[in-house]
Amino acid sequence: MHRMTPEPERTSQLLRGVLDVCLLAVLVDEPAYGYEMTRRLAARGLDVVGEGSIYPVLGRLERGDLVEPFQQPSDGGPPRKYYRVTPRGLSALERWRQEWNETRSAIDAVLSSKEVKR
Amino acid sequence: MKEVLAACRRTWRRIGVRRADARAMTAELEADLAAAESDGISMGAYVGSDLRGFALEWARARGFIRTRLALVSTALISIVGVIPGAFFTLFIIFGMSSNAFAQTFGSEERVGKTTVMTYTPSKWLLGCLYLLGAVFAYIGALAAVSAWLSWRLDPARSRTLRYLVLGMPLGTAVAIFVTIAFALTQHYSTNRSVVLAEGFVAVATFAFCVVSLRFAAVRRERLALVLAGETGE
Repeated sequence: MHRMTPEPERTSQLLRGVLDVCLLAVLVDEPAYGYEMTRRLAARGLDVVGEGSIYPVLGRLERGDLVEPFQQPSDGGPPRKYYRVTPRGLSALERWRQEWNETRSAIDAVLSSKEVKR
Repeated sequence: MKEVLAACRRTWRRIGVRRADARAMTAELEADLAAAESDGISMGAYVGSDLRGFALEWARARGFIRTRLALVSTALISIVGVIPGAFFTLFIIFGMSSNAFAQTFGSEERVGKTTVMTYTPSKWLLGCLYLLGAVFAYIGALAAVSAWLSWRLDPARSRTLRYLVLGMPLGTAVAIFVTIAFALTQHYSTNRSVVLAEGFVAVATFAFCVVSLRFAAVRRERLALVLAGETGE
């Protein structure tokens, strides 16, 4: 029997697929450290980012030279690791944003094509 | 928070993340956890309950997972795995030659004026027991290496096991051949030091075969990672 994915898990899975573009987007305005990025995502309504999911994504972005880490002094504590978007990351963001818009339009078209029959 | 950091550090140590890289990740996570904690977010909500998986995934994404050679440890573990099977064979064979066994399962035989109970196992039975012992030793070695590499989350575990499954019988055959050749040079002496030397030759040859197989497996694994662009170097 097919098991439906619980709603929060479904949302989380959807977000995981586009987390890299979301992280680049929240970094464009201002560099941030890991937790600050989850705050910014939550402030924009994406509060399901948890379970440390941003760190592997940040790692891949860093390896792909899309973000660049740097140390910045913190209030009272040791310097902490911040990330900023590289020029390569900016062009990737632009490309991915376009891809997302196209995908979203296609999915919107599919979902709105018919009334849901009960 | 300390438990979370300690669990991550343990995982990174096991998978061979360099100390400097592990320290950097720990410092980053510690600062973020402190910020999350001050916002009232639980550790579980922030990094999840599967700390090992989280630490592993992060290190993999950063390209910090190295495929270590671990030649000596793999050889030692395989020898440890062989021991139960080898001892099983020795106990059975020696046990069948004992007086106690002969008293129960032997037959009467006149030696001079006295009658003694003797038991001489057939060559077929001995052959089967040696084969059974070899199978136990083989399975034991594979299981021990598998468990060891699994515990270390070794990226080349599957490939190493495949190589051992195919190569270890050949390695054992080589070890037997080399040992017999050595025994021949010693005129099959039963002198204790010669017998010990023969044992050493057998174990050393077997270990050399395991080392060669592990080396070949890791080399292929590293090549596969290079081709996939995940060297982390």
